[in-house]
Amino acid sequence: MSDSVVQTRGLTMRFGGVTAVDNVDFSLRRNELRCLIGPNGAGKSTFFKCITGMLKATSGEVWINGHETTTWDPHQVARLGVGIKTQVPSVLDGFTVRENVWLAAHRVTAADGVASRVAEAMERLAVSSLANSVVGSLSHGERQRVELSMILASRPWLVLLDEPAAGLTAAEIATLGEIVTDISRDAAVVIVEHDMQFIRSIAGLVTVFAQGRILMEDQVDKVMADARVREVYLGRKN
Amino acid sequence: MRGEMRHALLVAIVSAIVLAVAPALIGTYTLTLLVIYGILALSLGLIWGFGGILCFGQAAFFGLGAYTYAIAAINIGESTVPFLLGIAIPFLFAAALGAMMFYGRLSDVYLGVITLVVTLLFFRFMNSTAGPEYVIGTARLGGFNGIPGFQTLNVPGDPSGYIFGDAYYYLTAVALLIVYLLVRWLLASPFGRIAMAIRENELRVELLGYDARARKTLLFSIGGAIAGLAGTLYASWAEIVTPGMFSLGQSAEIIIWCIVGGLGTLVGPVIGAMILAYLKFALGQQSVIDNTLVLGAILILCVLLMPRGVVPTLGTELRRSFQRPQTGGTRRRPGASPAERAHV
Repeated sequence: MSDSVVQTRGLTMRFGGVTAVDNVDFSLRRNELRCLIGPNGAGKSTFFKCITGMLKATSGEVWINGHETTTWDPHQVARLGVGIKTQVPSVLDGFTVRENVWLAAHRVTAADGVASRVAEAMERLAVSSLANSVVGSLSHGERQRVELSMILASRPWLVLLDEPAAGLTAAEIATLGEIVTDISRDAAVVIVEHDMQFIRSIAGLVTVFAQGRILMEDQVDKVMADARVREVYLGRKN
Repeated sequence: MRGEMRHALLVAIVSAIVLAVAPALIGTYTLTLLVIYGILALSLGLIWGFGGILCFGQAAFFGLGAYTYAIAAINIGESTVPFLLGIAIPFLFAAALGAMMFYGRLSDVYLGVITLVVTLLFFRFMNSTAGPEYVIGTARLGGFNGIPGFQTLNVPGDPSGYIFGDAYYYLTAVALLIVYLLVRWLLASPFGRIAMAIRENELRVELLGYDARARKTLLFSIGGAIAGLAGTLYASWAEIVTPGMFSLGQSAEIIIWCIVGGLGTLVGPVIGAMILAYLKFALGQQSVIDNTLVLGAILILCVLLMPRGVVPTLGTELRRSFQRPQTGGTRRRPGASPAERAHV
C-alpha cells in the first residue's frame, strides 16, 4: 500500500438514500499533519468514523499501516497504535483525571512504568494540578485536555482528532495549536476541524470535503485562496 | 491496590465478627438463608453496580446452580463434584448468554428483556417436567414439585459426613466472606478498573483499545458463577429445589435488595438482602398485613429518601461527620470516584 500509513480506496458510506461519503480516495504519509475541512454535512466526521471503526463503510477499503481495517471495531483500530478523539469529549466523568489517564497508559505500558507514563502525559497537557479532580467537575477546555492526555499516554503513532477546538476559548485554541504541533513531532495527525484560524495556526496539508467527496488537497494558504473552497463555504454566487 | 485490600480485609474482619455473634440473636437456620441471599445479592451487585449490566434474570443462574447441584448429587452421590458443577454450569451458561448479548451489541433495554425471558423460560420449562420422560441420569426433574431427596453437602471425600445446622451456617458465612474478598480483589485489579470504566463510558474504553464485549462477558459470567454458588448452597440448605427459584418474584427481589442496599458498593446489596429477607421472614409469621405491601413501601421510601441506597447514604453521612472540611485548591465534585467508592 505504498508509503501511506492511512489509505482509503473508493470509501463510500450511505445512510438509506443519503450518501455521506462518496467514493473517497485518501492517503496520509507517516508523521504527516493533515486537516480535513468542509462545510456542515460535507462528510468529514462520517469519513473520520469510518477510519476509526465507529462506522462500517458501505463499500470501499480502509488501510492503516498495512492492515485492512474496513470492518474492524474501534478497539482493534486503537490497538494498532491509533489515538482517537471524538467530536464530543469522551472521558470518564465519574473518574479522576489520574484514573482516566491511567486507563490509557495501562494498556500499552508494563505495570512498573504506568505511573511515570501517567505523570508524563498529564504534565504535557498541563493537567497535573487536576490529577485528583473528578473529570465531571472540570470545564469543557480542561476535559478536552484530559482526553488529549489520555491519547498521549497511549503513545500513538497516528492521532485522529475530531473537532478538538470545538467549544474552546481563543486562548485555549492557541494552546491546543501548540499541543497538536507538539504531538505531530512524533505521530501522524489527522484533524477534522471547522475553525480556520486554528487550522492556519497549525498549517500543514488540508483536504477539503464537499458533498461527501474530496474537493481539493493543498497547503492551507492555497486552499483558503481557492475560489471553489470559498464557494462551498459561502454558497454559489448567482 | 494494597490499600484497597487492607480496607477490604477490615470490612471482612468486622463482617466476620458480626456473623459470628449473629447466632446469639437469630437462629442459624434463618441466618444461613440470609447469608445465601447475601451471596446472591453480591452477584448482581457486582455486575450491575460495577459493570453497569442490569440483569433481570439473576434468578436464572441461582436456580441453575441449585438444579445442577441437585441433579449431580443424585447421580454422583458425594457432594464435592456437584458443588463445583453448581458453580461451573451457571458460569458457562452466563458466558454463552453474555457473549450472545454483548457481541450482538444489544442495548441495556434488550439485555434486560432477554435475561428476564431466559428466567421465565427456565420457570416454564421446569414447571412442565413432571413426566417420567424428564430425567437426567437417575434424577427426575419433577416439574412443579421440584427435586427433593438428594445428597446435601458433605465433608469432601466423606459422603456420610453431612454438614448441617450451625456448621452449615458457618460454612456459608465463610463462603460469603471469601466471595466478598475475591470480588474486592477483582475490582481492585486492572480488570475491575476497566470494568468500571466500561460502565462509565464504553466507547472511550474501546477507543483506548480495550475489548469491552469480552470484558463484559467475563464479568457477567463471574456474576453467574456467584449466583450459582448461592443456588448450590440454597439447594443444600432447603434440601429441595423447585421451579420457584426461577420465578419473576425471585428476580425482582434480588434487584430490590441491590437498590435498597446501595449500588456501587459490595456491602450494600448484601446488607439489603439480609435486612429485606429477614423482614419478609418476620412478616411472613403474621397475617395482619401483606408482606409484599410492606416490602413495596420500603422500596418506594428508599428510592425517594435514599436514592443511592442505605449503605452509600450512611457512608457519606459518616464521612461528613468524621472528616474535616477540605482545604486547598483542588476542586472535587462531592463524593469519591467509582474506584474509590468501590472500597466498601
